[in-house]
Amino acid sequence: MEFAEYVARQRPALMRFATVLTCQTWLAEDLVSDVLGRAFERWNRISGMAEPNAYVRRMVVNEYLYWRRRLTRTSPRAEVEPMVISDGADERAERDAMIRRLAGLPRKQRAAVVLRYYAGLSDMDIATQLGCRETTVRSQIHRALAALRIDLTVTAPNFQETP
Amino acid sequence: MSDLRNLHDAFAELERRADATAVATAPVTRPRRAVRLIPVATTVVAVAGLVAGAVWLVPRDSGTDAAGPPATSSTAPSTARIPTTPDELIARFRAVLGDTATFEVTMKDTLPGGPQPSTVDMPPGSGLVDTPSTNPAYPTTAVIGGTLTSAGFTGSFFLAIHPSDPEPSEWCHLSFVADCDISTLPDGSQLATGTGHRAPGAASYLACLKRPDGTTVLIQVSNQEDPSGAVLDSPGGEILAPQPPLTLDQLKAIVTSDKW
Repeated sequence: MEFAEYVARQRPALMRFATVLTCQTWLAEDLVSDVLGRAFERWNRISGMAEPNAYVRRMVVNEYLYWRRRLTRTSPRAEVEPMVISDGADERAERDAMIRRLAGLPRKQRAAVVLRYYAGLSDMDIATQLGCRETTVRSQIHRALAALRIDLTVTAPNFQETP
Repeated sequence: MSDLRNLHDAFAELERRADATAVATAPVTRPRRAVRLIPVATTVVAVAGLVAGAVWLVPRDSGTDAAGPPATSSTAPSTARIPTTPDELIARFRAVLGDTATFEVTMKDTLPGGPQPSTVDMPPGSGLVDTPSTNPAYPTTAVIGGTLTSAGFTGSFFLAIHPSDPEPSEWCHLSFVADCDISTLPDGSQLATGTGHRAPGAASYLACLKRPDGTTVLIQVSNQEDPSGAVLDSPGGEILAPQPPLTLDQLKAIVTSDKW
Protein backbone atom coordinates (compact mmCIF):
# COMPACT_ATOMS: atom_id res chain seq x y z
CA MET A 1 0.00 0.00 0.00
CA GLU A 2 1.32 3.44 -0.87
CA PHE A 3 1.76 5.86 2.01
CA ALA A 4 -0.73 8.34 0.57
CA GLU A 5 -3.32 5.62 0.32
CA TYR A 6 -2.64 4.53 3.88
CA VAL A 7 -3.06 8.07 5.14
CA ALA A 8 -6.26 8.54 3.20
CA ARG A 9 -7.68 5.37 4.67
CA GLN A 10 -6.39 5.39 8.21
CA ARG A 11 -5.84 8.98 9.24
CA PRO A 12 -9.44 9.52 10.40
CA ALA A 13 -9.26 6.39 12.56
CA LEU A 14 -5.88 7.41 13.92
CA MET A 15 -7.27 10.83 14.74
CA ARG A 16 -10.17 9.31 16.62
CA PHE A 17 -7.86 7.01 18.49
CA ALA A 18 -5.48 9.83 19.37
CA THR A 19 -8.32 12.09 20.43
CA VAL A 20 -9.74 9.45 22.73
CA LEU A 21 -6.24 8.94 24.07
CA THR A 22 -5.42 12.59 24.63
CA CYS A 23 -8.90 14.05 25.11
CA GLN A 24 -7.75 17.00 23.02
CA THR A 25 -8.35 17.32 19.33
CA TRP A 26 -5.54 19.77 18.75
CA LEU A 27 -3.05 17.61 20.57
CA ALA A 28 -4.29 14.51 18.78
CA GLU A 29 -3.86 16.22 15.46
CA ASP A 30 -0.33 17.27 16.24
CA LEU A 31 0.53 13.85 17.57
CA VAL A 32 -0.90 12.02 14.55
CA SER A 33 0.82 14.39 12.17
CA ASP A 34 4.14 13.79 13.87
CA VAL A 35 3.70 10.04 13.82
CA LEU A 36 2.65 10.00 10.18
CA GLY A 37 5.65 12.14 9.35
CA ARG A 38 7.88 9.55 10.95
CA ALA A 39 6.01 6.70 9.34
CA PHE A 40 6.45 8.31 5.95
CA GLU A 41 10.20 8.32 6.33
CA ARG A 42 10.34 4.60 7.07
CA TRP A 43 7.31 3.55 5.09
CA ASN A 44 9.21 0.98 3.09
CA ARG A 45 9.83 -0.95 6.28
CA ILE A 46 6.43 -0.37 7.86
CA SER A 47 4.44 -1.24 4.77
CA GLY A 48 6.18 -4.60 4.64
CA MET A 49 4.94 -5.54 8.09
CA ALA A 50 2.05 -7.89 8.66
CA GLU A 51 0.03 -5.19 10.38
CA PRO A 52 1.27 -1.74 9.43
CA ASN A 53 -1.64 0.00 11.09
CA ALA A 54 -1.04 -1.72 14.39
CA TYR A 55 2.54 -0.56 14.27
CA VAL A 56 1.58 3.02 13.49
CA ARG A 57 -1.00 2.98 16.26
CA ARG A 58 1.68 1.75 18.62
CA MET A 59 3.80 4.68 17.51
CA VAL A 60 0.91 6.93 18.51
CA VAL A 61 0.72 5.35 21.96
CA ASN A 62 4.46 5.57 22.40
CA GLU A 63 4.50 9.14 21.27
CA TYR A 64 1.71 9.96 23.67
CA LEU A 65 3.32 8.27 26.65
CA TYR A 66 6.80 9.56 26.11
CA TRP A 67 6.31 12.70 24.20
CA ARG A 68 8.97 15.21 25.06
CA ARG A 69 6.85 18.14 24.12
CA ARG A 70 4.27 17.26 26.68
CA LEU A 71 6.61 18.83 29.17
CA THR A 72 5.93 22.23 27.79
CA ARG A 73 2.73 21.79 25.92
CA THR A 74 0.35 19.62 27.82
CA SER A 75 0.94 20.02 31.49
CA PRO A 76 -0.16 21.22 33.89
CA ARG A 77 -2.86 22.77 31.76
CA ALA A 78 -6.34 21.32 31.79
CA GLU A 79 -6.55 18.70 29.10
CA VAL A 80 -10.11 19.14 28.01
CA GLU A 81 -11.52 22.04 26.11
CA PRO A 82 -14.24 23.65 28.18
CA MET A 83 -17.62 22.40 27.12
CA VAL A 84 -20.69 24.44 27.74
CA ILE A 85 -23.70 22.42 28.78
CA SER A 86 -26.30 24.20 26.79
CA ASP A 87 -29.29 21.90 27.03
CA GLY A 88 -28.72 20.50 30.51
CA ALA A 89 -29.47 16.95 29.43
CA ASP A 90 -28.38 14.42 32.02
CA GLU A 91 -26.78 12.17 29.44
CA ARG A 92 -24.66 14.91 28.05
CA ALA A 93 -23.67 16.11 31.47
CA GLU A 94 -22.67 12.59 32.45
CA ARG A 95 -20.76 12.11 29.22
CA ASP A 96 -18.82 15.31 29.64
CA ALA A 97 -18.13 14.49 33.25
CA MET A 98 -16.78 11.15 32.11
CA ILE A 99 -14.51 12.88 29.59
CA ARG A 100 -13.21 15.14 32.32
CA ARG A 101 -12.53 12.17 34.58
CA LEU A 102 -10.86 10.37 31.69
CA ALA A 103 -8.68 13.38 31.00
CA GLY A 104 -7.75 13.52 34.66
CA LEU A 105 -6.37 10.01 34.73
CA PRO A 106 -2.63 9.49 34.92
CA ARG A 107 -1.21 9.06 31.46
CA LYS A 108 -0.55 5.35 31.67
CA GLN A 109 -3.88 4.55 33.27
CA ARG A 110 -5.66 6.47 30.56
CA ALA A 111 -3.73 4.65 27.86
CA ALA A 112 -4.58 1.30 29.44
CA VAL A 113 -8.28 2.12 29.57
CA VAL A 114 -8.36 3.37 26.00
CA LEU A 115 -6.47 0.37 24.71
CA ARG A 116 -8.80 -1.99 26.55
CA TYR A 117 -12.20 -0.41 26.09
CA TYR A 118 -11.69 1.59 22.91
CA ALA A 119 -9.15 -0.42 20.96
CA GLY A 120 -10.31 -3.72 22.42
CA LEU A 121 -6.84 -5.09 23.08
CA SER A 122 -6.05 -7.95 25.41
CA ASP A 123 -4.06 -7.51 28.62
CA MET A 124 -1.09 -9.10 26.90
CA ASP A 125 -1.25 -6.72 23.94
CA ILE A 126 -1.69 -3.72 26.21
CA ALA A 127 1.27 -4.85 28.30
CA THR A 128 3.34 -5.04 25.13
CA GLN A 129 2.33 -1.56 24.06
CA LEU A 130 2.87 0.00 27.45
CA GLY A 131 6.03 -1.89 28.21
CA CYS A 132 4.83 -3.43 31.45
CA ARG A 133 3.53 -6.72 32.83
CA GLU A 134 -0.02 -7.95 32.43
CA THR A 135 -0.60 -7.71 36.15
CA THR A 136 0.37 -4.07 35.96
CA VAL A 137 -2.10 -3.55 33.14
CA ARG A 138 -4.88 -5.06 35.20
CA SER A 139 -3.89 -2.96 38.16
CA GLN A 140 -3.81 0.20 36.06
CA ILE A 141 -7.23 -0.54 34.60
CA HIS A 142 -8.68 -1.39 37.99
CA ARG A 143 -7.50 1.89 39.45
CA ALA A 144 -8.61 3.79 36.37
CA LEU A 145 -12.12 2.36 36.52
CA ALA A 146 -12.32 3.31 40.16
CA ALA A 147 -11.27 6.86 39.31
CA LEU A 148 -13.78 6.94 36.48
CA ARG A 149 -16.42 5.73 38.93
CA ILE A 150 -17.32 2.86 36.66
CA ASP A 151 -18.95 -0.16 38.20
CA LEU A 152 -18.53 -3.11 35.85
CA THR A 153 -21.25 -5.05 37.61
CA VAL A 154 -23.78 -2.50 36.44
CA THR A 155 -23.01 -3.35 32.86
CA ALA A 156 -22.57 -7.05 33.28
CA PRO A 157 -26.20 -8.04 32.66
CA ASN A 158 -26.12 -6.39 29.25
CA PHE A 159 -23.57 -8.93 28.05
CA GLN A 160 -25.33 -12.02 29.33
CA GLU A 161 -27.24 -14.16 26.94
CA THR A 162 -30.91 -14.58 27.50
CA PRO A 163 -31.72 -18.11 28.60
CA MET B 1 -21.85 5.35 39.75
CA SER B 2 -21.37 4.98 35.99
CA ASP B 3 -20.99 2.00 33.75
CA LEU B 4 -19.14 1.17 30.57
CA ARG B 5 -21.87 2.70 28.48
CA ASN B 6 -20.93 6.10 29.87
CA LEU B 7 -17.33 5.43 28.99
CA HIS B 8 -18.27 4.47 25.45
CA ASP B 9 -20.43 7.57 25.22
CA ALA B 10 -17.39 9.58 26.19
CA PHE B 11 -15.31 7.81 23.54
CA ALA B 12 -18.01 8.47 20.95
CA GLU B 13 -18.09 12.16 21.81
CA LEU B 14 -14.32 12.38 21.52
CA GLU B 15 -14.53 10.64 18.17
CA ARG B 16 -17.11 13.16 17.07
CA ARG B 17 -14.77 15.97 18.05
CA ALA B 18 -11.96 14.30 16.14
CA ASP B 19 -14.12 14.03 13.03
CA ALA B 20 -15.23 17.62 13.40
CA THR B 21 -11.61 18.69 13.54
CA ALA B 22 -10.81 16.62 10.49
CA VAL B 23 -13.56 18.34 8.57
CA ALA B 24 -12.50 21.76 9.75
CA THR B 25 -8.86 21.40 8.86
CA ALA B 26 -7.12 19.75 5.98
CA PRO B 27 -4.92 16.81 6.92
CA VAL B 28 -1.37 17.87 7.48
CA THR B 29 1.38 15.31 7.22
CA ARG B 30 4.54 16.94 8.25
CA PRO B 31 7.91 15.47 7.36
CA ARG B 32 9.94 14.44 10.37
CA ARG B 33 12.83 16.75 9.95
CA ALA B 34 14.76 19.03 12.16
CA VAL B 35 12.93 22.02 10.79
CA ARG B 36 9.75 20.51 12.11
CA LEU B 37 11.24 20.13 15.54
CA ILE B 38 12.61 23.57 16.00
CA PRO B 39 9.55 25.58 16.88
CA VAL B 40 8.64 23.52 19.90
CA ALA B 41 12.00 23.83 21.50
CA THR B 42 12.22 26.39 24.21
CA THR B 43 15.87 25.67 24.73
CA VAL B 44 18.62 24.36 22.57
CA VAL B 45 18.75 21.22 24.64
CA ALA B 46 15.10 20.71 24.03
CA VAL B 47 15.94 20.65 20.37
CA ALA B 48 18.66 18.15 21.02
CA GLY B 49 16.34 15.95 22.95
CA LEU B 50 13.73 16.00 20.27
CA VAL B 51 16.17 15.09 17.58
CA ALA B 52 17.70 12.43 19.78
CA GLY B 53 14.33 10.84 20.04
CA ALA B 54 14.07 10.72 16.31
CA VAL B 55 17.50 9.36 15.53
CA TRP B 56 16.38 5.81 15.17
CA LEU B 57 13.54 6.79 12.87
CA VAL B 58 15.60 8.33 10.17
CA PRO B 59 16.63 6.29 7.14
CA ARG B 60 20.26 5.48 6.84
CA ASP B 61 21.82 7.72 4.29
CA SER B 62 25.35 8.12 5.37
CA GLY B 63 28.50 6.14 5.35
CA THR B 64 30.34 4.49 8.20
CA ASP B 65 32.75 6.50 10.19
CA ALA B 66 35.45 5.04 12.34
CA ALA B 67 37.01 6.63 15.34
CA GLY B 68 39.11 6.14 18.58
CA PRO B 69 39.34 6.52 22.39
CA PRO B 70 38.25 9.66 23.89
CA ALA B 71 41.38 11.63 23.76
CA THR B 72 42.71 13.23 26.87
CA SER B 73 39.98 15.14 28.54
CA SER B 74 40.34 18.79 29.07
CA THR B 75 38.06 21.32 30.56
CA ALA B 76 39.86 24.12 28.78
CA PRO B 77 37.49 25.79 26.36
CA SER B 78 38.38 25.10 22.80
CA THR B 79 39.25 28.09 20.75
CA ALA B 80 38.41 26.29 17.50
CA ARG B 81 35.26 27.22 15.69
CA ILE B 82 32.55 24.82 16.70
CA PRO B 83 31.18 22.52 13.99
CA THR B 84 28.16 24.02 12.35
CA THR B 85 27.54 21.32 9.76
CA PRO B 86 26.96 17.61 10.27
CA ASP B 87 30.02 16.69 8.23
CA GLU B 88 32.19 18.93 10.36
CA LEU B 89 30.70 17.39 13.45
CA ILE B 90 31.36 13.87 12.15
CA ALA B 91 34.99 14.72 11.47
CA ARG B 92 35.40 16.29 14.90
CA PHE B 93 33.67 13.37 16.62
CA ARG B 94 36.00 10.99 14.84
CA ALA B 95 38.99 12.93 16.14
CA VAL B 96 37.62 13.00 19.67
CA LEU B 97 36.85 9.29 19.74
CA GLY B 98 40.14 8.16 18.28
CA ASP B 99 40.20 4.36 18.38
CA THR B 100 37.65 3.92 21.13
CA ALA B 101 34.69 3.30 18.92
CA THR B 102 33.36 3.09 15.43
CA PHE B 103 30.15 4.77 14.50
CA GLU B 104 27.73 4.86 11.64
CA VAL B 105 25.77 8.02 11.09
CA THR B 106 22.17 7.40 10.12
CA MET B 107 20.88 10.87 10.87
CA LYS B 108 22.49 14.20 10.28
CA ASP B 109 20.86 17.56 10.27
CA THR B 110 21.46 21.22 10.70
CA LEU B 111 19.14 23.18 12.91
CA PRO B 112 18.64 26.88 12.37
CA GLY B 113 19.94 29.08 15.13
CA GLY B 114 18.38 31.98 16.96
CA PRO B 115 15.15 32.27 18.85
CA GLN B 116 12.26 30.39 17.36
CA PRO B 117 8.59 31.10 17.77
CA SER B 118 6.90 28.82 20.23
CA THR B 119 4.00 26.71 19.11
CA VAL B 120 2.55 26.70 22.59
CA ASP B 121 0.23 29.49 21.65
CA MET B 122 -0.83 28.00 18.35
CA PRO B 123 -4.58 27.79 18.04
CA PRO B 124 -5.71 24.32 19.08
CA GLY B 125 -6.57 22.17 16.12
CA SER B 126 -5.51 24.84 13.69
CA GLY B 127 -3.60 22.40 11.53
CA LEU B 128 -1.00 25.06 10.95
CA VAL B 129 2.35 23.92 9.68
CA ASP B 130 5.20 25.40 11.64
CA THR B 131 7.84 27.03 9.54
CA PRO B 132 11.15 27.53 11.25
CA SER B 133 12.92 30.76 10.69
CA THR B 134 16.58 30.91 9.88
CA ASN B 135 18.38 33.95 11.16
CA PRO B 136 21.80 34.41 9.60
CA ALA B 137 22.85 36.33 12.69
CA TYR B 138 22.78 33.10 14.65
CA PRO B 139 25.04 30.11 13.99
CA THR B 140 23.39 26.84 13.16
CA THR B 141 23.46 23.71 15.27
CA ALA B 142 24.81 20.50 13.81
CA VAL B 143 23.33 17.23 15.03
CA ILE B 144 24.15 13.66 14.16
CA GLY B 145 22.97 10.28 15.33
CA GLY B 146 23.26 6.63 14.52
CA THR B 147 24.86 3.49 15.83
CA LEU B 148 28.10 3.26 17.72
CA THR B 149 30.18 0.22 18.55
CA SER B 150 32.77 -0.02 21.26
CA ALA B 151 34.27 -2.92 23.22
CA GLY B 152 31.97 -5.32 21.43
CA PHE B 153 28.79 -3.47 22.31
CA THR B 154 26.65 -1.73 19.74
CA GLY B 155 24.10 0.89 20.61
CA SER B 156 22.68 4.15 19.43
CA PHE B 157 24.05 7.63 19.90
CA PHE B 158 23.04 11.23 19.47
CA LEU B 159 25.47 14.13 19.37
CA ALA B 160 24.97 17.86 19.10
CA ILE B 161 26.99 20.99 19.61
CA HIS B 162 25.10 24.16 20.24
CA PRO B 163 26.39 27.68 20.20
CA SER B 164 23.79 28.87 22.65
CA ASP B 165 22.94 29.02 26.30
CA PRO B 166 20.42 26.53 27.69
CA GLU B 167 19.66 26.11 31.35
CA PRO B 168 21.47 23.14 32.91
CA SER B 169 18.33 21.98 34.63
CA GLU B 170 16.78 21.41 31.23
CA TRP B 171 19.49 19.04 30.12
CA CYS B 172 18.38 16.07 32.10
CA HIS B 173 14.76 17.10 32.36
CA LEU B 174 14.23 16.77 28.63
CA SER B 175 16.35 13.68 28.19
CA PHE B 176 14.51 11.16 30.34
CA VAL B 177 17.39 11.02 32.76
CA ALA B 178 16.48 10.00 36.28
CA ASP B 179 19.58 10.66 38.34
CA CYS B 180 20.84 13.91 36.97
CA ASP B 181 24.03 15.29 38.41
CA ILE B 182 25.20 18.79 37.58
CA SER B 183 28.64 19.92 38.59
CA THR B 184 30.85 22.90 37.92
CA LEU B 185 34.31 22.20 36.56
CA PRO B 186 37.43 24.22 37.45
CA ASP B 187 37.18 26.33 34.31
CA GLY B 188 33.61 27.26 35.08
CA SER B 189 32.02 24.81 32.66
CA GLN B 190 28.94 23.05 33.87
CA LEU B 191 28.71 19.31 33.35
CA ALA B 192 25.45 17.42 33.53
CA THR B 193 25.40 13.64 33.55
CA GLY B 194 22.73 11.09 34.15
CA THR B 195 21.34 7.72 33.31
CA GLY B 196 17.94 6.59 32.19
CA HIS B 197 16.24 3.22 32.25
CA ARG B 198 13.13 3.30 30.13
CA ALA B 199 12.58 -0.44 30.25
CA PRO B 200 13.99 -3.52 31.96
CA GLY B 201 17.40 -4.19 30.50
CA ALA B 202 17.55 -0.80 28.83
CA ALA B 203 20.00 1.92 29.72
CA SER B 204 20.86 5.31 28.31
CA TYR B 205 23.59 7.66 29.39
CA LEU B 206 23.72 11.40 28.96
CA ALA B 207 26.59 13.85 29.26
CA CYS B 208 26.21 17.49 28.49
CA LEU B 209 28.82 20.20 28.94
CA LYS B 210 28.08 23.88 28.89
CA ARG B 211 31.24 25.86 28.48
CA PRO B 212 31.70 29.32 29.94
CA ASP B 213 31.11 30.81 26.50
CA GLY B 214 27.75 29.09 26.33
CA THR B 215 28.72 26.44 23.83
CA THR B 216 27.07 23.18 24.73
CA VAL B 217 28.22 19.69 23.80
CA LEU B 218 25.61 17.01 24.31
CA ILE B 219 25.92 13.29 23.74
CA GLN B 220 23.56 10.50 24.60
CA VAL B 221 24.07 6.78 24.08
CA SER B 222 21.84 3.82 24.72
CA ASN B 223 21.75 0.10 24.27
CA GLN B 224 18.42 0.57 22.52
CA GLU B 225 17.55 1.66 19.02
CA ASP B 226 16.41 5.02 20.34
CA PRO B 227 19.33 6.83 22.03
CA SER B 228 17.00 8.30 24.61
CA GLY B 229 15.46 4.91 25.29
CA ALA B 230 11.97 3.60 24.62
CA VAL B 231 9.49 1.11 25.92
CA LEU B 232 10.24 -2.45 24.91
CA ASP B 233 8.43 -3.71 21.83
CA SER B 234 7.65 -0.18 20.80
CA PRO B 235 9.30 1.72 17.98
CA GLY B 236 12.85 2.42 19.05
CA GLY B 237 12.64 0.03 21.96
CA GLU B 238 14.68 -2.78 20.50
CA ILE B 239 17.61 -3.63 22.75
CA LEU B 240 20.80 -3.94 20.72
CA ALA B 241 23.24 -4.99 23.42
CA PRO B 242 23.40 -5.79 27.14
CA GLN B 243 24.77 -2.34 27.86
CA PRO B 244 25.40 0.97 26.12
CA PRO B 245 28.53 1.04 23.99
CA LEU B 246 30.19 3.73 26.09
CA THR B 247 30.33 4.30 29.83
CA LEU B 248 29.32 7.48 31.57
CA ASP B 249 32.97 8.25 32.24
CA GLN B 250 33.73 7.89 28.56
CA LEU B 251 30.93 10.29 27.75
CA LYS B 252 32.35 12.78 30.23
CA ALA B 253 35.72 12.46 28.52
CA ILE B 254 34.11 13.04 25.16
CA VAL B 255 32.21 16.20 26.04
CA THR B 256 35.17 17.68 27.91
CA SER B 257 37.67 16.84 25.19
CA ASP B 258 39.78 19.69 23.91
CA LYS B 259 39.59 18.29 20.41
CA TRP B 260 36.19 19.79 19.67
